Amino acid sequence: MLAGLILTLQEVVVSRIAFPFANPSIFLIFVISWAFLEDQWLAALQGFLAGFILDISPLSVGIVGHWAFVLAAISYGVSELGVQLRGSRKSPLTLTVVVTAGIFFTLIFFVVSGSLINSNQGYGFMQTVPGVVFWSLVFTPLISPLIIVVKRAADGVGKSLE
Amino acid sequence: MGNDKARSRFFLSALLITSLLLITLDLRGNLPSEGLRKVSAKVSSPFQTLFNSIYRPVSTFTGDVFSLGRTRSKISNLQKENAALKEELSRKNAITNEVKDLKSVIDLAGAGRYKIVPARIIAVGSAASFSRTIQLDVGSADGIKKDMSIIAGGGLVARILSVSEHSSIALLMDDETFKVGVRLESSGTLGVVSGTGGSDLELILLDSTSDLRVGQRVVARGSSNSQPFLPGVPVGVITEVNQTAGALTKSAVVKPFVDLNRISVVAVIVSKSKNDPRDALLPPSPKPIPTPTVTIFVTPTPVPSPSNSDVKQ
Repeated sequence: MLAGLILTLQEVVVSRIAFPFANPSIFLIFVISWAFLEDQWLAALQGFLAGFILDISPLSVGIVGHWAFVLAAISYGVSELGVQLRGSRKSPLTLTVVVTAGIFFTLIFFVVSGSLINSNQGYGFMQTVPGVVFWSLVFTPLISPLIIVVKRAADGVGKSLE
Repeated sequence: MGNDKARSRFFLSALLITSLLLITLDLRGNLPSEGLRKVSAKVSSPFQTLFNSIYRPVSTFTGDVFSLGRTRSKISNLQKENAALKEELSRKNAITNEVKDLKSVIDLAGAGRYKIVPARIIAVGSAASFSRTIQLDVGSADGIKKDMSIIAGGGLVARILSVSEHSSIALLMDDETFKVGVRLESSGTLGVVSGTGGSDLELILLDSTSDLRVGQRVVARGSSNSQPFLPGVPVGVITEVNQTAGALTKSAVVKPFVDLNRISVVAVIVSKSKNDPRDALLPPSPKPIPTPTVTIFVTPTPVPSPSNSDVKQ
């Protein structure tokens, strides 16, 4: 639900602003940050669902399941890293570095896996990688406190439901 | 802990397999991806509308902020282009004016049957020297000699002071040391016009009893052997008459036909015609504007006479 809202925000607002180099991916920043703060299996599930939402987004033209595959795997890996860095997990600096690296690997993985499954999204997509990574370095420290607050609130709601 | 990890890995494998299944189905065309995207569009549509309505007012601002650099460079390029166009336009205007000036001076020379050498003013005497002189781009190589008359489209402008091979210096008519013998249009009354240092000239009539009126036009009388002045060259028009009772001479203010501050192309008269053109070179006289006469008829209002009823009261 939240990923869907973030994706809508990305498509309606962020993608319509002509940023230099490339448009920042608030959606990927959000998904990877969330995965870093989450347990592995839940991170994988949330990554899969977020990817699936991206796959079936009206503006998406790729193969359904591609983003789900990529984000499930990356989210799991990022979460694994988050568990190992449990002590500094909620530091904005750690989050920024991990999210930026996560976005970089996500895009590379997407291009590589896309070439394997004969997807058309390849070279052109690759050109946006430096720009997206740059903007994630700029935006992650700005929005990570908000993500941490929302994550805490979501955890609180989850516990109260249990 | 180890169990959790194994479970997570198993779960991840299941998700990855599901993804691969979806990919395979979509690649084979067995997945209704279009239908899924339509449903997604329907679900996200209200949120898109909401975000859009919030975002629209600020979109122009953000667009402007992010395209500021491009806009600046565009403005800079347009400014350069504009400056280049202005320069070109100014050059064209200058050429057009020169052509116009040249045409009028050729017309005047043609009417007087003068042989002329067209010249461009290349320098104007410095204000610091208190002399109204100009430098022309023609000299002795072009047949220019000292004391020749210089005309522009409207009439007399200056006379040659000194000549070098490819340039010459001329004294403008409005210089205080400039004097030219003149004749009033039609009447033939003689006088002398001299420069005042200002935009107007001063006319002094030799005969104080002669009639002098505003609007009368003045032409050069001509010097002996036509040097420096040729007869019939238009000089100016009287704009003010100075009446001094008992004075031996009569004077007037003359406005030259040529605006001496705005000339760029002139012509040096190198030889004259055999006949004196008299007043033929003067521009056509301005037609007097008829003054409208307003006639007002006044009918007196009749005085009311007392009626019978008023008397009764």
